[in-house]
Amino acid sequence: MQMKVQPSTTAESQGIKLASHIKLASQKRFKNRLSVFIDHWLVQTFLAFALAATLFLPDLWVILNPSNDFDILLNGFLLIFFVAFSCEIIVT
Amino acid sequence: MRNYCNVSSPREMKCIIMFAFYHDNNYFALRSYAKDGYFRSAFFWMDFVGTLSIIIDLTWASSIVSGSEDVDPGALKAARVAKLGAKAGKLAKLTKLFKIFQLQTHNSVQEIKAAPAKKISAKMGLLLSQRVALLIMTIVMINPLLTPSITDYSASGFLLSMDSVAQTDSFSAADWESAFLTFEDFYKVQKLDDSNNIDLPVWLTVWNINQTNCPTQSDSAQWYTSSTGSSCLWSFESLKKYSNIIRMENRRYVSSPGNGYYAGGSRCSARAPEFAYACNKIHNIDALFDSTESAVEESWMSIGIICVVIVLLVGFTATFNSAIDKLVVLPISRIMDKLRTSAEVVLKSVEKINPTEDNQDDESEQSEADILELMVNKLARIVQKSMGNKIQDVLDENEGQIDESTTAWLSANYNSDKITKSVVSTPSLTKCDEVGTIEKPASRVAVRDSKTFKRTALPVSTDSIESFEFDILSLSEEHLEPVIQYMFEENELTRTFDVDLSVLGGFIHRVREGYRLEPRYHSWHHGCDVMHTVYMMMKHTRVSEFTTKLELFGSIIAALAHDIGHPGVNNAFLVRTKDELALLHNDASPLENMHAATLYELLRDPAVNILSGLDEEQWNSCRKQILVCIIKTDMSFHFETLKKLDMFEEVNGIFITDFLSKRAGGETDYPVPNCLIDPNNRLLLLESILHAADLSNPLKPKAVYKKWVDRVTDEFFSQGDKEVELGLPTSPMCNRESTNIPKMQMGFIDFVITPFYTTIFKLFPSDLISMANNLQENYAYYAHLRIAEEPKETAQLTENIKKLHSKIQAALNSASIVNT
Repeated sequence: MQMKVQPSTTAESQGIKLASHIKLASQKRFKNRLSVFIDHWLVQTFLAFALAATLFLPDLWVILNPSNDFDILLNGFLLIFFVAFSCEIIVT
Repeated sequence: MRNYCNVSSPREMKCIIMFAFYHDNNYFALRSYAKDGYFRSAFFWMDFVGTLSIIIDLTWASSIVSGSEDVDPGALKAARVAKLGAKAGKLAKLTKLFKIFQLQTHNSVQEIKAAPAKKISAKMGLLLSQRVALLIMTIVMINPLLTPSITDYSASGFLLSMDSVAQTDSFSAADWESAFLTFEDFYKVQKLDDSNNIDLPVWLTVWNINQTNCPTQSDSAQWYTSSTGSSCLWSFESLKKYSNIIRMENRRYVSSPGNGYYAGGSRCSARAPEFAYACNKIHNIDALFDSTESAVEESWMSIGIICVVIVLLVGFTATFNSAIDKLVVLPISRIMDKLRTSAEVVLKSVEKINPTEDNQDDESEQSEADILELMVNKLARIVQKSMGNKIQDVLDENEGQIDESTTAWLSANYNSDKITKSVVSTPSLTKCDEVGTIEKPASRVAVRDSKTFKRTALPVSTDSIESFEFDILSLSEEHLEPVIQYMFEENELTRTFDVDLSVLGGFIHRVREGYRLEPRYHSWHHGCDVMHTVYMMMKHTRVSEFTTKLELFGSIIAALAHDIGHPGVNNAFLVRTKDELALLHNDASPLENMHAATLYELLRDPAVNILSGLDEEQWNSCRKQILVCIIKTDMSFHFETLKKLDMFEEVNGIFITDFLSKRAGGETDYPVPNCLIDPNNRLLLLESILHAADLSNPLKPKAVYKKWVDRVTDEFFSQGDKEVELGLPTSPMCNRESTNIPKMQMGFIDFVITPFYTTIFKLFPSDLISMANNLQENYAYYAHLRIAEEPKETAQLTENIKKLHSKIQAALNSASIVNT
């Protein structure tokens, strides 16, 4: 016995499919835009600078031996770089 | 290290460390999710260890660690370096960012415009840099674990020594002064020695001391003392000043053992004997050391390690990349450049297999090297097919399963070279005059007046005709004529080429007359069957999408008349008996030449000349096609045709399947591929279809196939009987006594049908599935007949059935993969 598909059901499923396709396409476009953004040379230069800073700054801070009152500067910079890296990872 | 752990971090630093820990854990999760193959890889474990090491930086964790005397300083160091390794893990990204792969510039690369080489270089460089980074970071992390642990006991040694002085019963201010000056001199010596950056004492406090025992300040000595209550404080002014220690974490407080326990106190009485020393102490001592210099030294070391890692990464990667360029990339680039120019068609077909290649970036899994491998494999197959001997390939492929009679049969009937040799080696026949002449076809039916001809009604439904299952043998000779006419008219060929129905009817009738009555197999029914099969194959494979109407017209005419006048013996027999036909055509396909000549002799009669509507050019073109198609039905051309078709499929198959699937999908304006614009290629396909139809009995339904087998074996045995009568050696498969029919049919399918039809299936995969299913069923049928005769061959024959199935499925699937 052959099952007959109700026209309304078919239309509904086609609508769901269409919505799903649109959503996927939208996500893909958003991903592409983010990818272009993250690969921009300005962003990459900033991230490179941040990477170098997170690698060297804490040790340089000890070498420069400033007063503990100025630690807020170091912590501020590091916090900014961590936020930047986190954003990069999320976007990637 | 321990000093670092003992000092509480500022609140902001705690937040950052917690944030970093959280961040790195997310980094794992995201990378594991986003990057295939990252999870559980070496880089994963590297990041894992590096992230765990951050826990040690947390103050609550470090206080636990520093509170234990059993902690191995080496392990602490390794943990710190593990964190450094995790940092260094990002250096691969740094190297990619700086595009160090392009540091190496080669003019030769630019000269040959090798864009693929750059891709390969970038791909290999990235892979290499990752591995180099892994290697270096592993070394950096493992190295501290392999070195012996050294604990700094200098501060505690100093305290213990001073403490021993304090516990002396009778000590004076002079004793204290002497001890103090001794240590000051010791630290001064250490300070002067640049190789020993040790922590220097800043001050010393002795508790529970009599003020009389506290020495007064000495003008000569560079130290300062002050006493308040029961304590006495001495400052090492010549070594360090308290105010010079700028950072809190560089102030290192140490106390002598047992400090805080007082003689006779309640805490002492509650303590175990190991604290007896502390409880009996008279004085206790505290000291402050300055660890600024050692902390700075450690920071310099840390920076040095990072710099070394960066230098090693860049240096090794650049060096290896240069070596790869010279040894691999440039040669590959040259090869690919050469291939691109010399094998353009092959490359296009490879690119067709990988349509998304252009859209892939450098990090894609599919690299140019993979394309090159595909291309070289394809070229290798083409070379093998163009250079190889097809019949030898078939024999080699079935080595061990093929007996001498089958080999002789293949050689005698399917290899023109072997036939020529057999002709040369054939002894002179004394009876050639007696048997050398084939009788002229006998007229069976009176020639009708074509002018008064009208098509009779179809004896079967058009649905039956339009099916591969159609059984030609179920109809009488007369009833087949309207069926043939239907197939001519169905393609609108009669209207296109202005063929009068009466002329067509007359032509069909005359062709029917041309077929002899004696041969049971090569009869009018066989001609109709082959034409029907050609008609069905062309219709189902959508050949009309790329062929002209004239070519379709020529194909079905050739199919209908391809065996006209067949005497029921093969070419080898005619040659060996020096038949008139063989002599007339110089032993070159005498039967097929006769068939073609008979057809054109017939067409000379204007009353049945269905080609009369063609202009000169069309007529010549059609004649060329008909002649080639009929001549190529000679079985001695079988392997030659197979070889050509196989190579054509290898090079152009992808374009044809792609084109046909697009057209089938409704893309009517999808362009015809170049390979099909070439008329020679179209002719190859058309002659192959006719040849395939001529061999198509095993692809018919079993009941139909069995009827044809009866007829063909009967004809073969008749030839064998004639050979016996003439005193000639019996041809393979023609001996009534020794020929095993199931074995003969299985051999025919194995060595002739399967190789040819698998190529056809590759070209037209989705359209001939019913034929493929029939072939497998028929093979299994005869295999089981054979098993019933020889049960000991069961295993081998079962294996053969599976092999045939896998070959056919592979042919059908190979094309379907391409289509998807």
